[in-house]
Amino acid sequence: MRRPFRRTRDGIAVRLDEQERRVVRLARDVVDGVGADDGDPASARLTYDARPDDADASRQFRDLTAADLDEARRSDREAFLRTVDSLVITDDEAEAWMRVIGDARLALAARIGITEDGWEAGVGPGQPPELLLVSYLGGIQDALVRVLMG
Amino acid sequence: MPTVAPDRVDLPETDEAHATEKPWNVVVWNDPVNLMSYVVWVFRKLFGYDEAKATRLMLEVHHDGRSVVSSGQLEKAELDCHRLHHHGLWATIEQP
Repeated sequence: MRRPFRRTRDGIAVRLDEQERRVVRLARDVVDGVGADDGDPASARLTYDARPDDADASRQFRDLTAADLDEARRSDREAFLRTVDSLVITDDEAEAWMRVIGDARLALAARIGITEDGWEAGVGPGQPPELLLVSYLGGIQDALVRVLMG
Repeated sequence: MPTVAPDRVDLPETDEAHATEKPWNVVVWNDPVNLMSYVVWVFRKLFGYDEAKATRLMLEVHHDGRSVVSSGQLEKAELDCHRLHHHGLWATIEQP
């Protein structure tokens, strides 16, 4: 399989065809939909408790950071949507892609109840489409890591 | 996925100006979804660790279920924890 991302003089070249981009773009639909339904397990996975041992401290941490986290995520989604059809992206944009795709994978995995290591072995025909998407987006995320580290 | 055998143990870094204050630890917990390569990248990016140290911490999370990835004053620990959350890692703060 060809490398979907390659570092060039102008930035990170993105080599995904239209069909692949359509699947990658699903990541934003997933993160946008988090919490839309009551009791969405994705919402719980993406809401963090920094101090599970101390309810007061936990609330204080959330008060301190929740707005920043929302804003950082909003900014990531905006960058992702703006560049998802681009042929060349910057490192910052690639990082935004990585976080949006990462959160989408966590959200999907929470919804289909992935709780243990080793779930990759079950990826294949007859499995929920969410599982296939978690796996596919994992390949994209791994490719982004490689180009950013390289 | 390269594996690196740890041959030394790094003590958590502390802010020397506040060395008398008991440091807070930032703990990352294992989850089955985040990629190992991604977790290593996050540790390098956020904390400036070299690949060997970031890989050792990732493997500790993977095998032991948790790892202390940074340490310091409460404000620093809170910021580190917040940045880990922004990257989708399940992080908490504790004082040992």
